[in-house]
Amino acid sequence: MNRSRLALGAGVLAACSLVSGLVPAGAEPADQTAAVELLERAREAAQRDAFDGMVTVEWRDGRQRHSEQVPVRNAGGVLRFGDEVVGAGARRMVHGTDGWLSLWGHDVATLGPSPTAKYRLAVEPGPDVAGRPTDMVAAQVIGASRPRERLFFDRETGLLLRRELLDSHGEPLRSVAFTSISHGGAIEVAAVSKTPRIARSEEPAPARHLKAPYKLKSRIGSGYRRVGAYKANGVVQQFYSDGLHGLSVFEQRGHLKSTKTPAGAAGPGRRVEIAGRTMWAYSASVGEAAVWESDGIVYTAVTDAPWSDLAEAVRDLPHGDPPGRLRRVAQSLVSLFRWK
Amino acid sequence: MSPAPPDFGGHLDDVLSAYLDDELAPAARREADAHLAGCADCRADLHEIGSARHAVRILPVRTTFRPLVDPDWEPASAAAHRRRARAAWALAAAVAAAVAMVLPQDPEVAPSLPSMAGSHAARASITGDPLSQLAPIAVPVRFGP
Repeated sequence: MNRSRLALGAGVLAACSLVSGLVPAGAEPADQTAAVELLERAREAAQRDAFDGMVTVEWRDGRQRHSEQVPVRNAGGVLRFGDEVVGAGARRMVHGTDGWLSLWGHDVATLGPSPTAKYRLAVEPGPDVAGRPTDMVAAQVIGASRPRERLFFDRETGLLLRRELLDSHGEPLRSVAFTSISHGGAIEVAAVSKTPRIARSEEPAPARHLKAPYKLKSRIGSGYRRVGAYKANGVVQQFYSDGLHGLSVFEQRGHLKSTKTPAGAAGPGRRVEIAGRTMWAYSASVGEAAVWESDGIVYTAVTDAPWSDLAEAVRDLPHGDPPGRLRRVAQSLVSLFRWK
Repeated sequence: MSPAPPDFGGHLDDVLSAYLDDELAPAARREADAHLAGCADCRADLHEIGSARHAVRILPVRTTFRPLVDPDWEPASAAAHRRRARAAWALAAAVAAAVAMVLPQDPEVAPSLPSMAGSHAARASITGDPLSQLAPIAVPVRFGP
């Protein structure tokens, strides 16, 4: 074997090792592609297929485990969760005390990053969910030692039947799962597909050019990329995605109301310290939330990802800048004249 | 009759000081003693000068000039200076209070977490899976610790 052949062989080996380094062990590129296809197919199935079922939502907070059930029906492109939430095309509506409120009303151009940039996705046969065979996708953060999430897809329809977020011990932290489901036939299409009459709209408008003090950050935390910024009723929302999860950062001018729990009627939170700054943290069925104040802006971050992702994202956001000296002096003086 | 006092030009006067300082020559001193023995006025002067000298000697020793830094020293205008400074601070505080009253104050904010959770889920369900994103806001959203 001459020197040029040896050099070529070494180059091929180096290239192979480089490619294998990009795709973590245990997840073949074909696996990754199949997993992404399953995710895309599930999104389409949830809007297209007619079905009727019951979904159980489970979550944990610092004190206890919670479980709630909600009936789900889908027909004619309208997805209904009990009498509370409706999704029709790109419109999202929730039912409140004064009728139906529209939360969203337009399609978006940017889907977000590919989940394979952050996660190693592996596909394998899953257990039956709601009596239906599934394919399971295990999502593991690249470099982590155990899966963070498991998603179970209906092998026949592609619908996502169960999704569970796992804690550091591999136990479900939050989950959404069908306990029963039926397709076609007996579904009252006319009743389900009738979209509600909107009483009020809180649909945010895209905000591409925000002036100070709002700051747009294109990337935060562990692989979260901004895919949209919006404004509604004086509240700015920046929406980030890591391909599997979303993370919203809400910004409001002002300072936190000096009560024991700042987040309105949200109930008791817990005080946490991130990057030397004390803030309020909450857990709910929708995920995790953190509330803090920095330099005249109140920040509220909400995510359907685990708490660790939220904490890392918060580190990249403004925090810890106290008000200027003049303003502090002025506020102290004004407080002397306030009745408490 | 007492002998006539030595002639020192009338009374001893300035000689008394030299007498007290023991600066007179022995002959002059004898003459002074003789004069003093016969002159009540000069004895009285001698006693007065001697008392005055004693009083001066028992006074405490003090430097005759002011040191550069003397914590006890205070010019006559210091109190007035303090009064002026106090008045200036009071005026500044009053102005600051007036300015603070007219400065726009940040509003108090109490973020509505359920509302924001709804907004987040709505947005996330557009690009993510609508079933798993919307179901959690269809149940009573309670935020706990």
